Amino acid sequence: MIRTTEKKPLPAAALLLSALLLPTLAARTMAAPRPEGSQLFAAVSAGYFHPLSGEVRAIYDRPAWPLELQLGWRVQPRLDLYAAARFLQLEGKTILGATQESAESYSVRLQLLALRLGAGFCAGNGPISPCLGAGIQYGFFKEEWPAVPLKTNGGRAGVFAAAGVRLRLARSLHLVTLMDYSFQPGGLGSRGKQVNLGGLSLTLGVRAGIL
Amino acid sequence: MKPWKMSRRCLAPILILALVLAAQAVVGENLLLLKVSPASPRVVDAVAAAGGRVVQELNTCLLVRAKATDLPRLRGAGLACEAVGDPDGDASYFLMHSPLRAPVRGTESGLVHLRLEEDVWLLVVRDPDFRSRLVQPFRLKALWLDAALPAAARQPAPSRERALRPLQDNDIAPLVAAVSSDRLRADIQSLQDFKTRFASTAECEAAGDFLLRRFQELAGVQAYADPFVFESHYASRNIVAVIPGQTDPGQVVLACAHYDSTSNNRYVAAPGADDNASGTAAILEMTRILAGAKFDFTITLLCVSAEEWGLYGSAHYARQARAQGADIIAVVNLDMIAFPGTLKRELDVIGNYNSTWLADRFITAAAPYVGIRLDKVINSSLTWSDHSSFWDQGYPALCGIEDSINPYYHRTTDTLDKLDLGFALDATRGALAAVADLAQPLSMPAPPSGLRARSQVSFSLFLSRKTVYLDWHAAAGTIAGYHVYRATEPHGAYARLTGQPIAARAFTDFFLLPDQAYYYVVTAVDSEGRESNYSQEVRDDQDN
Ligand SMILES: [Zn+2]
Repeated sequence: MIRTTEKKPLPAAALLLSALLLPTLAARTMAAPRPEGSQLFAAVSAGYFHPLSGEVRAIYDRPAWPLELQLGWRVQPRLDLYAAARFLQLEGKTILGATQESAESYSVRLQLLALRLGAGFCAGNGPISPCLGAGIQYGFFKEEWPAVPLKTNGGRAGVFAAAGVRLRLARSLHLVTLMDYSFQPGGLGSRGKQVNLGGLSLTLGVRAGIL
Repeated sequence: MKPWKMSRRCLAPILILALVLAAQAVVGENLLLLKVSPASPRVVDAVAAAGGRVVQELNTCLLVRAKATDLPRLRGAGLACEAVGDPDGDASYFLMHSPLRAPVRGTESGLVHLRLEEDVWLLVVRDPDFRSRLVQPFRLKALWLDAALPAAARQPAPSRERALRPLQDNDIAPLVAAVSSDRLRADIQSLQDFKTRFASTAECEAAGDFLLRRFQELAGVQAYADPFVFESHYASRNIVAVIPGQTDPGQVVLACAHYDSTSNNRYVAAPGADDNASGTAAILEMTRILAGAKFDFTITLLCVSAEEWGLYGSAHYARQARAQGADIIAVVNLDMIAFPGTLKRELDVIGNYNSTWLADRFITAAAPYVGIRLDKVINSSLTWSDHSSFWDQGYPALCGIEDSINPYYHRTTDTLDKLDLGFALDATRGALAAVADLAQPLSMPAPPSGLRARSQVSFSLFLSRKTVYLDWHAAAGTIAGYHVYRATEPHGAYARLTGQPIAARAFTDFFLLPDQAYYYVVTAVDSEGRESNYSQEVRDDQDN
């Protein structure tokens, strides 16, 4: 089977570059804000995931809740670099080919573990600051039909970008809410088309300085 | 400007163009008949990849039709290629089997002979009366250079023997017991009495009428004549009897024998008692007996004409069968089955690679009923009788023939008084047992009918599996349950899916590979545990 060329990472990569470069430029031109105190931080967040691919939505029609753990380094007062692990489990049922009607379906499950490297930039010094972030990820995925049992797995590189708001609760404790976009290629699907396992997530998390 | 100068200037490009065109015509589009060696499945593939088409397969070489421009590619593939003819020319081509060192008399004019391998010659014929210059004994096969062997002829045949139900002696023994040597003798005598059966003679046509009448006298037999023209202006007929199958009439077991004859005085006297009134009498006797029984598959009994001219009748029949997509599962050709010689009393069962299973099955089925030795011979160069026309079309075929030298072969002295009817009786019994076995006598209980299959594919993102839904009609009688079998090739090795007979008349087969075709049959099991023959086969997506 012929694989089509992935073209979507390009705009995402541009976004990532600008996310990495813009804060640096901005940080140089702006007055240094009041330091947060800690150089290292940890964050945990959870939320709601909406797959961007219609085929994923058709099969995995149940609500899905991503969970993400982050460890980060505050490079500059407004710029963070971080590594994260994001876990997502989708559940649904098989669908039938176009010409077929009725009959049974099987429960299916898709698990996605994305290891992320990203940069985040938050503007302003106030209790509420708007934030932008982006990065690359490597997604390990496993799909299975638990009743059969039948499973397959794979792994591919993808990208993500996020925008949201950070709310300061204490000197080193923040509440973060983000809209997260990810593009996660999955390779060739069972119907011969390229699969995108990415989507939009709305997450809420806390971030705390640890050192 | 002087006139001659102008004409020279204009002529030069015209001449060059003409030369280029001529070279293209000679080198580019020119078709060649090549002898390519060695012969093996790998070489057949290499020939196809280089643009050639195999028109005849022999043990040690192939005859290949190819463009002159394909020659470097063939040689590049490491094949020894020798041009032996011009398929577009006015010559006809024959394979000739002859044990002689000089099988052709007289000058080479109008008839060129080239040795292809031991006992096998290629004849390039421009003289229509070339047969008078051939030294007996010889056997001819006309080559059809317009046609390539179908791919099926080169592939290992599906293991149909395993798709047939196990041999059931109970059903076959009474059929075999009905073979009569008196009838064989009477029929050989009747055929011999036509004086000559050389195809194209009125006597041969009369023999055809005789055979047709004999078939027409039998209830349950569809009899017809199958006319054909050969070598442009000769005509003859194959005589055909069909016993329709009860369960799966699309599958055909074919038994054949040529009824035409030849001799050293062929227009006047060619009694052909051994060659091949013996095989033809066996076909008549088999038809009489088989017509009284019922089988799963159709049995076609074919009396072939113009075999002695170069297998024209069987080539006509087999090419037509392939063109119509006929599903002939096995061909049993009988040619000379009544002259065992003094020592061996042995019947050779000759097959090509594709027909190895058939030769084995024939011997297994026939052995319990015969007092003669059955000897399997796998040799694709033995193309001198009608089985070879079926090989060319990719059908599994074998030839049953006495393993002895008949000194009266193709002579006016090939008469009934030289024959051993006991040997012919055994050969006929063996052939009958094999044909009945292959066609599967209807069993008790009867197999279920009306088997249907519907399939659908379930998808997740990366995985898909097919589900096949089967249902069928109840089998007649007291049925305890049904077994379901599946294969991945048509009439392939069926695997049983049901541990115990199931009571339902439906079955669902789950989690199958979506791109694989599956084939199903069902059997019925009666209250005494007896299992029926297979039902008609269905493909998984047949009723979608
Ligand atoms: Zn013969």
